[in-house]
Amino acid sequence: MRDSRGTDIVDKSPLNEGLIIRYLLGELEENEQIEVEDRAFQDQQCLQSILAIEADLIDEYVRGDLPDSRRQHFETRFLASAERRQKIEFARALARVGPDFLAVKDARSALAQEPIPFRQALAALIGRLTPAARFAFAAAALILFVGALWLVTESVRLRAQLARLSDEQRSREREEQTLQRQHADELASSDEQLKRMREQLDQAQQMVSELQHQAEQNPSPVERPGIVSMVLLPGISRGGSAHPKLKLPESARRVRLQIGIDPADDYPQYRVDLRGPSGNSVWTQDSLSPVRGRSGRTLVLNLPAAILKAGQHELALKGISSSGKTDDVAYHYFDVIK
Amino acid sequence: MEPRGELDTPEDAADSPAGTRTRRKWALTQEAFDRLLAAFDQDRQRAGEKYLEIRGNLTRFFEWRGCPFPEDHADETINRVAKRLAQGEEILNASGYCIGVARLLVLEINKERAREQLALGEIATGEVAQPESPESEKPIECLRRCLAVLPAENRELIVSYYQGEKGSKIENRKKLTERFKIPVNTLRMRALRLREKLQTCVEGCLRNESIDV
Repeated sequence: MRDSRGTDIVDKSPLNEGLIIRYLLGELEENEQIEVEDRAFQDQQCLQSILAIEADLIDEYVRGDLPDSRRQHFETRFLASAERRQKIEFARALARVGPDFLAVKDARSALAQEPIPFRQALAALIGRLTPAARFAFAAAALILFVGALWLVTESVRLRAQLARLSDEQRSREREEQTLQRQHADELASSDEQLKRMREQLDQAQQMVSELQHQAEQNPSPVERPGIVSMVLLPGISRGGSAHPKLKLPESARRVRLQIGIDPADDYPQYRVDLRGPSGNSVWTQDSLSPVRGRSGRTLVLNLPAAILKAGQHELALKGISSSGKTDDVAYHYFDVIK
Repeated sequence: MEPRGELDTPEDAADSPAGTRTRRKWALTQEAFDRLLAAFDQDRQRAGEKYLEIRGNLTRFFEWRGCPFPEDHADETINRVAKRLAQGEEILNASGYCIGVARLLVLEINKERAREQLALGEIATGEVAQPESPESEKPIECLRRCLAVLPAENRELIVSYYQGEKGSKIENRKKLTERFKIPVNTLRMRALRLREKLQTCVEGCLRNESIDV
């Protein structure tokens, strides 16, 4: 169709679907075909309609929905070219695959909309099984149950064992710590005793050297034959086999005993009790105050030489506390030789 | 200028798709092709687009007319138009002229077919190529793979649109228009475009090309 200037006039009215089908099947006269083709190539929408109807027609063919008369026309037109045969092959594939995809989609939709409870799903699954499969399923379930039970029991037993072992280990650790502490205390005590003994030894050595010094400075017994001196050191007391010896010449009139005091025996006053070889007390003196010298504290006792007999003497030294309480401090033994 | 009937000239008989008489075969030259494009549009880019559109329409035309080699016939049609232009013919409506030439070519093709059938006797009468074996699983597998790479919405659309027999198919499409909230014509165009893409994908898959929709 053309206007007065010879330009094509495009008819925008939609083509009848039946007419298009007849065109595609080659059932139209030549002039009708030309009309459809002209419309198709001038109007894009019309072209798309023809293509869409062509696709539907091919689908109907592959589904066997076309009546026989049309089927023959279809095959004459559509099987003539390889391009159209490909379209038919594609339609055939789509007809086969489409329902599968729709089924999957429907299943997913159903799952998404309404979740099936586990028990219901399990019952449905078992319901679909054959008797043999049900038996196998039941046996498998039983084995699983027993296995799970054994695992739980074993787990509990192992946990208890682990707890007991942990307790034992903690107990051993505690005992080990106690022993270590005791050992450390004993070591400390031994060190302290050793230290004290060394101090006493030092004091004794100092006292000896002091007395020697005094002896050098004082007149000799020869020069003053009436006084005899002896030093009794602390810590050297009873039980010893080698007692100090005090040699009393006949000219001796007085005996000077210098008694060393252990630094640990810190009393304000002391008492001395001297016993002769027969065990009788021969001299007692209270309220003796110690004298502090370079070698420590000492008590000095002046005795008449006449009270000392030949033989072993015992000198008991007692400390008197500020409250008046008396404690044994030391016992000294010496032999008098005449 | 309207295309002339060409079978009457001996020169054109040599150009006939099934011609047996050969005098001299006209071949498309670069100059003739340039002239053809210029007839489509003065702008080279638009002329190229127009060429593709016309060639596509010609291919469809030969398909619709039930011709055996639609693409080859489309190229033959364009060659003939280019030849006319090279001979100095003035063409005002290139698209319409091409369809006119194509219709004449269809007459030639049909006459040639009739001649062949006559030569072969009754053996070839009514014989049409049969579709390829429907047993082949390869197209099915290819289509599955092509569908799998489609976006879910497009997959749903293409599969649902072409499902069902007449009554249920109409109902399906109605639901789809509601589901996607688009008019029926838009739905039809979308489905058609997807179908064409899928078919291209399947053909590529059958040639062992990568899957791409």
